[in-house]
Amino acid sequence: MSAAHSHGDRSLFAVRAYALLGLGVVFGALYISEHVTPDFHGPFAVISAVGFLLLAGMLSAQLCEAVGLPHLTAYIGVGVLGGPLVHDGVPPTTVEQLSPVNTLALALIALAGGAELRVPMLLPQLRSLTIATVVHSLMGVALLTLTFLACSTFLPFTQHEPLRVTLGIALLWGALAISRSPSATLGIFAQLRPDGPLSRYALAFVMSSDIIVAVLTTLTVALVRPLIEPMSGIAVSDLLALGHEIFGSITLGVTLGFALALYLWLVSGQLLLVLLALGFSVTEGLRYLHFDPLLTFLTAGFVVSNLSNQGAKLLHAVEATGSLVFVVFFATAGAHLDIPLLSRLWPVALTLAAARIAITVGAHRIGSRLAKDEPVVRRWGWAPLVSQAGLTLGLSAMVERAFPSFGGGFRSLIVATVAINEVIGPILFKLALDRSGETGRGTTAHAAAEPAVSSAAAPAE
Amino acid sequence: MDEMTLLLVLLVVSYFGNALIVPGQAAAISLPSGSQFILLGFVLGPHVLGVVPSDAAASFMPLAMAAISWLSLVLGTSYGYAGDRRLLAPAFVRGFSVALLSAALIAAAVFAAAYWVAGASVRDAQLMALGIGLAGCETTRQSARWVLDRGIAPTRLLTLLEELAVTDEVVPLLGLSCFFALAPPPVTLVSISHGGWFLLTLLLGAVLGLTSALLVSGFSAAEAAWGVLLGAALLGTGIAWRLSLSPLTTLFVMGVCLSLGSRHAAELRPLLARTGPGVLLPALLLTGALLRLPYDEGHLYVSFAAVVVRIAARVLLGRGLAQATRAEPQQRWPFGFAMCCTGSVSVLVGLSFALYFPGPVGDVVLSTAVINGVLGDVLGIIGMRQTFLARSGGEAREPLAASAS
Repeated sequence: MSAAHSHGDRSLFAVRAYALLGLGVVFGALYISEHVTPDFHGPFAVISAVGFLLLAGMLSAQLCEAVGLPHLTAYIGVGVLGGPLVHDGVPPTTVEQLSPVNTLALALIALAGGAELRVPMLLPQLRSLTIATVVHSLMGVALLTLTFLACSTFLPFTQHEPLRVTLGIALLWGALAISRSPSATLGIFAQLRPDGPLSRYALAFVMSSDIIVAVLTTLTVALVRPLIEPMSGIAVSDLLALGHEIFGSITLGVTLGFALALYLWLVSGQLLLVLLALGFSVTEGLRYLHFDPLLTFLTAGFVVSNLSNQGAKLLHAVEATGSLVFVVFFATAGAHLDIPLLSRLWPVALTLAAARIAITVGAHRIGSRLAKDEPVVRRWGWAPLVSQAGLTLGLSAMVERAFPSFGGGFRSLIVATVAINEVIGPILFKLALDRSGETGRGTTAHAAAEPAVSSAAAPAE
Repeated sequence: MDEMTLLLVLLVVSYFGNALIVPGQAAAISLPSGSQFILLGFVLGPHVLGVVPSDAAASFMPLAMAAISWLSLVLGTSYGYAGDRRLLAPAFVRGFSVALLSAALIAAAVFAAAYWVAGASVRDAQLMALGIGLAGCETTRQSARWVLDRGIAPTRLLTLLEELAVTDEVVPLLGLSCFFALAPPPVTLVSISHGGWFLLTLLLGAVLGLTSALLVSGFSAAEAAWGVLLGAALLGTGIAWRLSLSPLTTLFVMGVCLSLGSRHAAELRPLLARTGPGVLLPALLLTGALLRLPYDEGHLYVSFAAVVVRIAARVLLGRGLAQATRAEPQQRWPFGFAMCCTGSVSVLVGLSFALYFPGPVGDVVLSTAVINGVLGDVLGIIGMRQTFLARSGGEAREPLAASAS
């Protein structure tokens, strides 16, 4: 072993030992304070919860690197361990109070996602993306619907329903099950900085599928209504509302994008504060207008990146916040995971999650063969499509509102399967990027933000 | 104005704070303590224009506490440094003694006024005495900057002012933890003495600071430490408040330990200092909005006594120090007035009291701290002009004996 190699190993060991020690201190401090003052409730619980999630998330991520797991897994794990189920350092009320932080995180994630989508990158993939979208939307939805129908006798909210109603619910399941996770994809990108055919395909497909799934779910809600509620017809109002939402979100996103580009061109300083103000205020306004924040910020990022030359500045600013944003977002998601529900529904949830992965792999292979994708995309292109997170949960809430009779049970099942996909997805995607050799090939806008362990580990690899 | 609008206003203020104020250039802020932002908050607040209703301002209380705790961390990391120059023991002893003496004199006057004139209970009189004494005993770091930014060559007297400013804040910030320790303890499952609570504050800060230093050392650059520092600061603030410890003291101690224990300390100090104005100005604006001037005649006497004794104490101490450093006779009295400049620490200590003791006691402490800030700005600027600007062709910079390394 060379001296440099040995030194790298020692640094790596020291950094991970520090992380382990730090994690012990963080958990210990929170544990002692909670057990000394068990009756404390108040706004300061939110402050310590954010601090805990941030610190413990970052430290766990360093430890997870040792076993090759992605940072997102560590963040989710910290949320689960610190959440109401295990440690109760972040009680349910606190998790709810963290929603403004998540709102902001989602806005920044969408903005970064849009900025990453560049036309020169998308154009060569247009054929591949179109074929993949069609195959996943048709074959994926059909097979996932059939899987749900097969499992329906084991589900409390479908077992006594007539086939017509169960079919309607199964179609809703199929539409929702093909949703992906833009935030998980970008979270992995923030950690690994990949570049190559697989990462470009993943980025383009996952981001564009956000719009497709939103449209598909709304269409399905409108179309299955006569099956589930025979007295009602197809709700044209739902389609109009969807059109209003999509058109409005894109229009506002374009305006916001131009405004941001102008700011970046004229001033460009204090961008973090500007993004904070935009994240809060625009999301609040969008909620009032019933527009989709994800689509709006995605469009804004896309406009800045493609219709101005300020994209790099925007990406750099968003990336600078990335390490903090992703930790809090996914750790909160982990704290939000309903583990007792998962323990009740796990056999069905696991079956459905496994079937979803298998169908995703199959649909991807077929689509990829038809599109004549590069071998690396053919082989690993399904991996980024496994993760599910906030988008799926948001759409399931919409279904719950549309069909209150079974919506609660349906949403619980979605939450349970998302929990599985949320944990497995990032691991599979990281594995795919590592195996395809694309990890670390991208631009490192914030290379300095990576822990020294990365550089220390390099000689050993 | 609802909470979202107030948040946006605070972000805008923070934006201008960061954009217009380069750390170390007090000229842009015009007044050493930033009192104008407190006054702006007061004018916008429920007692004048009512643009910011009291419930909206109160809902930002945790955010305000997190912000001022962060500022305390910033102060802690640069504690004992005049620029890049690390101060030696004599400077610390001098700063500590001057601040302690000032605090004692002000506290005695306040206690007397509160107990005998205003007819407050012994406990309330003690609380006011401690609070106002601690909030009035420091000299703002911006005072020396204010002079330097006007192109004045550093002199021995200016060096003295700078050293006092960077060493005396330990008294209010540590004193605050004594005060929190003396206050009624939280409902806990274990019994801890007053001294125990004080030590626990220091221990929590030290553990967080040293742990952060250890963790930051694992990063290749100090910029990467943001997540660790922010996480530790928020965790420390939350736990301190939960245990009824002083978050300001906890984070100040954390900052000092981080500075002492981190190999990146030299990079961290300017990095953290850059966040100061962006956090301070919204905190000052909120302070103004939360401000309730003493409505009771007795409380006015208390504030009056505090202000008068503070000015007298600072002027006399300043004159004595100027004489001890063999300053020119015509500079000695003005230097005393220059030492009246108080700043963010005073306001933050006052705000911390007001948040921890909502009601008349907290109001009197906060409003007196603000009055001291405004008056200190006026008198301090006059004093600094007389001491330094009127003699700008004076002596060259000469470090005080055995105070600089």
